[in-house]
Amino acid sequence: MRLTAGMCPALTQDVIEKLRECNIKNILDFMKTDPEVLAMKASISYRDLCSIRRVIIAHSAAFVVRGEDLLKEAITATKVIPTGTAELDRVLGGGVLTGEVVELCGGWGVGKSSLCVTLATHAALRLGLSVLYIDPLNSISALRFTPIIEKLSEDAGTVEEALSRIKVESPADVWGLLKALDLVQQPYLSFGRFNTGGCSRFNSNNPSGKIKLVILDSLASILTPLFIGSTKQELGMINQLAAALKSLACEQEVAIVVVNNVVQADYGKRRKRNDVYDEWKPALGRFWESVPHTRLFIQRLPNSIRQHTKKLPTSHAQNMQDSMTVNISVWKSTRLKRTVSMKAQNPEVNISRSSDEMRRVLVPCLLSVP
Amino acid sequence: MSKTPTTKPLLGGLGCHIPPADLIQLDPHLLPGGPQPGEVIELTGGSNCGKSSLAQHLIATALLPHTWRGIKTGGCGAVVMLVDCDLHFSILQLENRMQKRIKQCLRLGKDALKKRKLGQQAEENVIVDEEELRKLLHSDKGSIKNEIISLVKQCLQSLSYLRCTNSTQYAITLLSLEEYMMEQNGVSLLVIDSLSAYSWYDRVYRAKSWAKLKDYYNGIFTTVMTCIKKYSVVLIATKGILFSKKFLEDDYRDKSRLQTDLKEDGEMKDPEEDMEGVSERELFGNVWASNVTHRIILSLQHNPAGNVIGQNEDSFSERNDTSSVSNVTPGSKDTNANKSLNSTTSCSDRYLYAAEVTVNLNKSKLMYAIHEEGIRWQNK
Repeated sequence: MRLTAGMCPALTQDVIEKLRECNIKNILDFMKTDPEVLAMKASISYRDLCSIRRVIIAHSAAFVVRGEDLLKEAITATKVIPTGTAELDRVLGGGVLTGEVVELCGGWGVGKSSLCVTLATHAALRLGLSVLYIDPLNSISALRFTPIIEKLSEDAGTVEEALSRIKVESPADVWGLLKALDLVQQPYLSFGRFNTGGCSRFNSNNPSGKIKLVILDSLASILTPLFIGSTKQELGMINQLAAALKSLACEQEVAIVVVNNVVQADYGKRRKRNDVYDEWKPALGRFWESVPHTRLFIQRLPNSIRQHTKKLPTSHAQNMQDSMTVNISVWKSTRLKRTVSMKAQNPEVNISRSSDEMRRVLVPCLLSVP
Repeated sequence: MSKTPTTKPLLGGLGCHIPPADLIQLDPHLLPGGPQPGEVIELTGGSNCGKSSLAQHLIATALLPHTWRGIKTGGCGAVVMLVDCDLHFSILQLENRMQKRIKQCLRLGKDALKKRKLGQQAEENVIVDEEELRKLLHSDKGSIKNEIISLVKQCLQSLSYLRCTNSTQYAITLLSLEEYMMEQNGVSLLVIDSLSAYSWYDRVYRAKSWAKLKDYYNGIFTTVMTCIKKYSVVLIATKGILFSKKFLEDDYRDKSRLQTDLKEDGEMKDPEEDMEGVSERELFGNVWASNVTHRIILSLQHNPAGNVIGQNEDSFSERNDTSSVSNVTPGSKDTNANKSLNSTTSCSDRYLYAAEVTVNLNKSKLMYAIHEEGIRWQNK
């Protein structure tokens, strides 16, 4: 951000000295001043100043893209990644879209992580896509993936190949997370024995091995340790992270799925006037509310609680028989129609509503065996 | 192609200055008489209130032509520049909405033609050239569809898109507007979505205090305003709320409640606690605040569960029965042409939003819902 000699032929050390005398030390100060005024004040030629400005703009400002070019690019680049569950696909209007950030929020134990695992395996196995699974809590392992894959396909070689397409990262903090996100920018990734370029039929979707789906489970676990101390610091960090996620999704054409928790929306006597959430609202604060493109709220149906707490046998195969019914509603979306969020204390309301407002999704519930 | 009164800038880039198209037709409900060049419209509201949708709707209106194939499409035929900081913009969605709007206009035109044939009086002069319209309607569905697609593609040629992915890029882009305007030629509408996308980053990592942040923004917006006035551009900017507790009713309208609200918060430690008396309005500096001519506050008014959000002082809070609310055709204030719209859609299952417009101390309130083709204003 500092003005350095050599950035532009017109920007000599001499010129930099003159600018410093006029109190212009970095690029922003330079751009804020009118070149005509500056030319007179610092006795630098107007033409030189304009050419320096042009270099700065070319380097740091946004590129202009024509609407029609943007459209052409969007038509070819945007891909829909089906989630593997038909009902969820219907809620999302086909699946997760590349270039979008989808947030899954819900209470503890509703199945957000299970849903992420299903999503990742479906993408890796059925669609042949490379997946980056960011798991700061270190809560998943190959054990968690294998049962789903084995259920979907029988071939052991296929299982290994699919697992090789899922890259798991476990960053310990935000900066580790930002570094892990850099992996998405690599154009060609090969991990595992089965490199792309082979004649496997699964690779037709993704010939270069570039990551197409990023799953972050969960964001709250990375950011909550930062919440002590100054609130402003954490907001600055959330802002930076949000910008990084969204720009990554746009520029690298990946779909990003983020997991978040929910907190109580009611403050007792201080009900905010504009509050649109009845009982629960997404964690991470108000700034984060406007960040994702789509926000899905997952809620377990009351009548399935009994199933969930049932003592389960230890083998994986039998675990697969149990499934949990959840409701997934759209809390916010830039493109989907918003559905009403449900009040959890009235189970009758849940059941009596028509099915096009609430989607019942069957999620295979995996309890990992320690 | 079509007999539009405004010509597209054919000589763009050759240094000829094309006068920007006027935006009178931009939105007769929200901005009667259209915004004048140099005016600044600020759209503020909580999250998910339709700010970006409204901005996108206005972009679509600005890009569409005045007339097309004999029907009034209600657009301005203008050149638009969009600075996207929120990264929520979807060109596919814009294209889709524009196509649906044109189809809607075609439907209205068809109905009007039918009425004319039957000798009835056409309720509104939707039809500009009957012959052309008839010719279009007689062709088969496939070719009509292709015509619509190519119209939208042509309109999108007048859209310039700038994507800002970090705070520095955002600042430098805004400071280089002069160069962009010179290159683009004839821009009449500049849309920034949204201003507050990097505000927390700027506050925490650039400016060490709210006062310094104000200075920082003042520096940027001085340049922006000079540029806008010089090139006769209308600026529409969306702005999210940063301070949740004292927004809207508390802050914009009644400053005396500022102090009491600060003490009552029980949840996580608020950034407002050490705000040093900065209000939401002054956040972006006095250069921005003083240059805004139209301040529009958006909020959610009604959700389909039948709950009215917010106990507002107006009669809107008592209006639980939405069957009396009818749809209004975008771009026209006539209610007769809207009857066809009302028969096809019911609005009781839509989220209803309110837009409160303040221009020169005159306030007015409008309601709207978001449909597939964009925004539809509701009759009171």
